Amino acid sequence: MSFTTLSFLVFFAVVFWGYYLIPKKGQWMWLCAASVIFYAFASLWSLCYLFGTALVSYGAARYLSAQDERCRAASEGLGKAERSALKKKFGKKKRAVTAIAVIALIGTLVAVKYTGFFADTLGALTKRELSLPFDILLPVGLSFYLFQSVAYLVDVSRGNYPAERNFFRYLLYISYFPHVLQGPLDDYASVSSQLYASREFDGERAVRGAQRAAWGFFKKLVIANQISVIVSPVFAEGGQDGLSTILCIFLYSIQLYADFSGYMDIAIGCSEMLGVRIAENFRAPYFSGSIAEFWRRWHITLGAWFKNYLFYPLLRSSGLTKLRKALKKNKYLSSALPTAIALSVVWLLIGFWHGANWSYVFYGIYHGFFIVAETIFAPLYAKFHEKFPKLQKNAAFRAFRVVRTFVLVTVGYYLFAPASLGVTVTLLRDSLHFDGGAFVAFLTTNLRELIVAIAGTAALTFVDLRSLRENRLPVGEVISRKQGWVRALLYGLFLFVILFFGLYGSGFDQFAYFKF
Amino acid sequence: MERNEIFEKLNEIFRDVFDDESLTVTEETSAADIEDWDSLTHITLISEVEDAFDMKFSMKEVVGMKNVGEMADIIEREA
Amino acid sequence: MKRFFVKSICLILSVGVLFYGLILAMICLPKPAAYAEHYQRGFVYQYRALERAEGRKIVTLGGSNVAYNVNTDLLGELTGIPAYNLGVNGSMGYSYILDCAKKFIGEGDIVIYPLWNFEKDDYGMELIWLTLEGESDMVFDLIASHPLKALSTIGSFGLKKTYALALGNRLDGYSETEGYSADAFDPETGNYIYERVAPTLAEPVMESIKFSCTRSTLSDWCVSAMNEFTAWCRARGAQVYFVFPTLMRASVIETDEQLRAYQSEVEAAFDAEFIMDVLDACYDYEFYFNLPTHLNSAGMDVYTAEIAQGILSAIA
Repeated sequence: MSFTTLSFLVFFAVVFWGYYLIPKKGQWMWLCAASVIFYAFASLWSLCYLFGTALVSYGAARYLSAQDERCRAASEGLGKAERSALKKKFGKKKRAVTAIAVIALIGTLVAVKYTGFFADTLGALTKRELSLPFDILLPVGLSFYLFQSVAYLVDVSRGNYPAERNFFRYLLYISYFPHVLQGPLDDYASVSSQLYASREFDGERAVRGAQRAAWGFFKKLVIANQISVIVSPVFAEGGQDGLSTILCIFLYSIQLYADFSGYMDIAIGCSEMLGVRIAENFRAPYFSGSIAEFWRRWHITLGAWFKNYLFYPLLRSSGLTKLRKALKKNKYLSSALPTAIALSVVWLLIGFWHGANWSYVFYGIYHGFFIVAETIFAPLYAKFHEKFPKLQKNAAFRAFRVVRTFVLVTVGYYLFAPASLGVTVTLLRDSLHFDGGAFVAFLTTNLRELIVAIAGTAALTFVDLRSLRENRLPVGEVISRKQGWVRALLYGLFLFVILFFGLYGSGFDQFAYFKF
Repeated sequence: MERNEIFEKLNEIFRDVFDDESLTVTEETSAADIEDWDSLTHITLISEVEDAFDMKFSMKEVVGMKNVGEMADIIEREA
Repeated sequence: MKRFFVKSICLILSVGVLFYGLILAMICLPKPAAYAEHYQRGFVYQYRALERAEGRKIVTLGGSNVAYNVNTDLLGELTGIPAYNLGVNGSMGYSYILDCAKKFIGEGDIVIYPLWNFEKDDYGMELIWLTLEGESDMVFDLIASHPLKALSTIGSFGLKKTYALALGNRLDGYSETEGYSADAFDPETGNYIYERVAPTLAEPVMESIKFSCTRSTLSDWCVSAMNEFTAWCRARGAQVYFVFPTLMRASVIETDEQLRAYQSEVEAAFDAEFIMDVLDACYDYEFYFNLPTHLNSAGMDVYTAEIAQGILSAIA
């Protein structure tokens, strides 16, 4: 059930009203049932993957907590050295179980998502026909909720919190319908207490949530869908003139952002209406000054996951620690080299995470390149800023950095948008071939969608800019403070704008990150 | 080890990692207070502290510590 | 909570009513001058002609394979039964064409269907709205028969028409090509009367556009849907006869033998009677127009005569 369909609206209305009408003790169970039903609608056969993931991570986490309990009990009255030794013994067991469970989970994802890709690649390399005789379909949302379950499991193994004892409560955390299909990857500690709590209806919170969700609908239906009409034919095969192709890539930047962050807005808004605050995934990303900053503002929870569960463990692994110690003489190298290596691994895998496709791998490498470069050239940048100390505070310099980052990210979409290296090459070639007449014709043909897209982007930019300044009230708050009839008029107008300028119906209800 | 001894050593390490001789850390100092203290330098810092005090932080501690005060608490416990 | 419920329902309902009211008004108002002479108007001519038709008639159903290739004036002359086409562009969706056809089929009628594949739920909503604009009865018929589909696709029409009115701009699909406008059709009968003298593509180019005629090109859905339709017509005292759509012989991949085998297979699959041999629908290059599926005026008369012959034999 895609968010921008009538069936989802009806579904959510039922879930929302039911949630506040049923006895408070059953609220979390209601959410759990609703989430499983939601997932079943999205894909019935994938349910076994959802349950499988939940069972494995739940079971392993329970075992780990049980081991902790036993360790604590056995340590009663022992001295420090003996306690340490006992901890080590239990630690070994815990690490083994954690490793097995994580490998089983990630292994499932790899097997389902990448087997076909590996077979094809191996076949291409060895010039043999190695493709699988059948298609393995990727269960919907697996890349997201599986990562979330791994995060939970590793957190329990680190002792961050005890394992959840009730399987169905845990199932709710994994399958919670706002985040099950495309994230955000929520941290168990912050979200679980909210999910399991019973709550009263909060009118103001519900309004805020509804505002947020409506804004998400606007972004998806008006901005993203209108742009997709212009650019999809171009990314299918290329063949446009240079200026048109370049325009399409820039439009795609907006489309992808509006699509993915719009989905997040609907998810966060709906969850807010249910009184559960889930994580933010976007924070005005196109206003970043560097690629590293970009990834702290775009798909935030994915970056956080990789930092927490791959990057840090890598850096603290024995291999890289030995490297760091070996390079101790050179302060710069001993920190830069291990970091660069760890970053390269992380970014290669982030590329892979996006899909079983060389385009995505190169996309990861492209972004990774700039991030590693920042680390490697850090001393050069430091020297540069020593020479021109005023530059850091200069607004024009900041603007330059923002534009530069936006252009770099947009160029990266040559890889991401077509999702086939062949078309990427075609598009790059097309971009060099200038034909003013063709460009004007392209603009004229797509003028209607362009007008809507540009107006929508202007609104989006305005709202994002406002959100950057912490002392400014978000737009929603400003509206909420108006008088009753003014509010009704503004809301009505906004809904009308979405209906009038939006594109919806079948063919328009798929979201960009649905396939990851 | 005494608390102020710990802070003396920490000051040395911080000044070295961030290349700033005027830097002084207190109980409340956190990543928000030092410009270059991001996730990348955090790990470098942790490694240096571990080497200097001959102890190891757990992952939970690495990710969870909120300020230098908490870091010092852990060092007191473990070193 | 009740207040929130009441307020949100009121808001959503009022916006919905206002919005859809506006869209319905816009779609029922006539097409603006900028695109009033759109080619799809031919479908409306056909529909209206069928509304006026009295007594026994022949109705040919399809897309451009019907409009370009069946000369209804000639067909009526040769068979002595008035003939009508229903179909101008296959992109409107065969499911929609069949829905419309059912309004006009009654006792004694003869339905001709050039065999063409379609999938389940074949509705080209965008083209349908473009065609139905200004024809309020057809609009409401569609909304009544498929309310969800209609309401979910009609929304974007408002923007399109506003844009066309404001900037005097064409609608999507409007073509400046000869023969692709309303005046290519006879307004009284809906017959495609545009004079097509000779092929507009060179022979090698036409030949390079390939078609395959095998049983596997027809979906199970198409078979069951057309059999259902045949039964429906027969229950009302009408007859359904299948013919083969015309294809330039050189464009068809299969050999004569294979085509004859194909014919046997489809004759077995479909309940309706076939009144034409597949090879009798495949002609040489000189009879075609801009595609291997579109005949020029000379070819149109040949094909029409073929159909007339089939009908006369069948009803004798």
